[in-house]
Amino acid sequence: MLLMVQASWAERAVVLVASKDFPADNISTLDTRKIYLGVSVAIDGKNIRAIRWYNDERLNQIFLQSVIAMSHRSYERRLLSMVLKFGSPRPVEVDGQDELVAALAKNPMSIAYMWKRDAESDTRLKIIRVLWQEN
Amino acid sequence: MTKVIIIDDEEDIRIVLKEVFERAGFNASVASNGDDGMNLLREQGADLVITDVIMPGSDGVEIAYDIRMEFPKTKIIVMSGGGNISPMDYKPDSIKTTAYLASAAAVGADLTLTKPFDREVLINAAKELTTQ
Amino acid sequence: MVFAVLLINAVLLPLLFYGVLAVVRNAQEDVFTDHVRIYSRVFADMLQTDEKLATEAEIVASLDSSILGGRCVYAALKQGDSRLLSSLMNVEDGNKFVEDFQFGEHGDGVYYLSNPLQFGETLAILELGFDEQPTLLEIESARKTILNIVLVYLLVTVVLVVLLSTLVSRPLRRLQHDSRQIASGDYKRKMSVESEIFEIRELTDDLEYMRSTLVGINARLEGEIASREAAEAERRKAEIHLRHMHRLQSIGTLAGGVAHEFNNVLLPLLLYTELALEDLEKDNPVRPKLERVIKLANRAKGLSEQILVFGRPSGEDLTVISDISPVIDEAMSMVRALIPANVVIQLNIARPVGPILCNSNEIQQLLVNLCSNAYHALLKGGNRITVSLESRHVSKDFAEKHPSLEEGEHICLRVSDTGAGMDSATMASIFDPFFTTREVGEGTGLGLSVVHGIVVKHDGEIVVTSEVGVGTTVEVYFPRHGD
Repeated sequence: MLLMVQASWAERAVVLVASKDFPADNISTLDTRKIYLGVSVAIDGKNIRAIRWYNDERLNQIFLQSVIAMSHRSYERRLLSMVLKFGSPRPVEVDGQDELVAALAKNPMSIAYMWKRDAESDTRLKIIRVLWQEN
Repeated sequence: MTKVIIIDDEEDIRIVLKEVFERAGFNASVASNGDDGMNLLREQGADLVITDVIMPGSDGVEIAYDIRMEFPKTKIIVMSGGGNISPMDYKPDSIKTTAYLASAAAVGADLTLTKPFDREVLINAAKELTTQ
Repeated sequence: MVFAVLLINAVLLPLLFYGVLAVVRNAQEDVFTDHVRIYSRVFADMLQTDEKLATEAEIVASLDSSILGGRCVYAALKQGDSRLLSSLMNVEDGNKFVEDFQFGEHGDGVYYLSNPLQFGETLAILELGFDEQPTLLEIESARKTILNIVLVYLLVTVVLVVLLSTLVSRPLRRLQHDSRQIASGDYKRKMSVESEIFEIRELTDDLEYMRSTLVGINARLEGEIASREAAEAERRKAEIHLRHMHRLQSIGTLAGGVAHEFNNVLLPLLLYTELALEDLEKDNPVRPKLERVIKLANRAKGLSEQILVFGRPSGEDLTVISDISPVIDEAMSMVRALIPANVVIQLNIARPVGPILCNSNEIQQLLVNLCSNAYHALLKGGNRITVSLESRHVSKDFAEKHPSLEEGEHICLRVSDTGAGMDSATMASIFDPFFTTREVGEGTGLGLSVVHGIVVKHDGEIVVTSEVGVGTTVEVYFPRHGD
């Protein structure tokens, strides 16, 4: 379990976020990976939903490398076959941070990734885990 | 003396012909048109009449005819200027002198002479005609 | 056309090249990225779950194993500030770790990525670096291959285009050349082009068909124009002829009127003078003068007689003469008497020639006039006059050229001289009354117009040909009587 302490470092970092109403304070890396790869993970019987966005290419690459461990194309291909394989829905795609935050608020069971400083500055969000940190 | 009447509308011709005839021993009188000529003939009588064939008013053929009718013994000479006559002065349809002369002969002219002719020719003809 | 194709290729081929190259590169990089991420994740997961990794040596061993397999060139475990490197690495390479998220980032030839691990109680970061070189070489090799393909394609295209343009351009140019020839007047030139290309053959056939149709139309139009022009010329000639006739007629009328007045004046003139002569004594010096006057008056009389020919109406004085040659003989004996002996007069009189409806006096007058003209032409050079009389057949063509003549048998009287000849300007005026080329005092110039009047009266035609320096020939045609 990654310490919350690390979340407060000033360096660049990418964090997993959810709305304040998210029922958990932490999700393991494996679970994060599962959720984003279409495997169902539930809390109290409710499935956690994944949200994706592409506006920041760097953020996207860090996310792919740290969480998914695939190339962009492979992951996209994977998303297509997810439906067939696991029967689970694709991650929701949003355009821009505002839409992202709105989507998180709309479905409290959803999670997303964001730059740490952006997450910290938005009080509607809860940081669940640090996905990556600059050394 | 042999009497001759000269009928021509040209004064010069009347005068000169009169002189020519008188020198040759004729008694010559002149008239300038057919009617005057006829009157003169009736008054004086003549052995010979010499007339121009084409004149304004009366024409030689008519005169020749009239004279022949009235004075069968009088000899007639008709003179022609030759060629066509300007239609403006005389009859409107084209007048052919030869035809004229022919018809003059047909109505009894004794001789036709084409102007200009020699004095000798004229006098010889006149004498010949009047001594028959 | 070649240039257009080359230009298009010059623009498109680089696009193609870079496009394909980009595709290949992206694919290669993608594969690489995929591989390195999955590998490092698997390796990280493996390390995390491996309970045996307690000692440093064991950690190093597992780091080594990752370098040994695959393209991994850097493997280290970072705990806090310390870094445990794989023993297969150079020590100084340990500081080179700069995390990449994109292939080729940082230009160091190695793709570095990190994975956080839970190592026992502690947090550690697994650092791996993968050699980008092989992939770069692959991309480079692909680039070369694509470039070669593009160049070959370009070469083949050029060759094909040149071939095609030859196949197409050459015949098209030929067609173009032929068209230009035709347009500049060579209508008879056929359009034909050899080509394997069906469309070009079709085009050629169509153009040739068009040409021959147009040539046909053209020929027809030309024919129409020619016949119209001929008709126009005929009409004009007839008009001139008619106008001439009218002129003669009005001149005739005028002349007749003038003559009449003239004679009316001449008669007293003559007679008065004769009378005057009679009045004078034989040796009076005035006598010769008056005698001269009489001579002149007689000459005037002669003139007026000539004028009268115009006024002479047609027809009454014509008779049928079965053989005209004696009339000609008589006239020529007069002519011979009038013309000096040094002039050769050659006679070609056929006999008998006729029958002819004519006035023999006028024929003689005509002949004398023509001989007089011939004689005057000889005064400027030459010494021969030829007079011929013969029967001649007038052809349809000839009759068409001379409106007064009908096709058929005619009598032809010809007078030619070897004199000075006339130019075309003179020839145009010869029949005009009072036109003369003679010196003052030598003649009035009434001769040929009188001749013309006689010819017209006899329903004949007069044809004059002349060449300057060679001589003149005058032919008079009279229709044979009874045809």
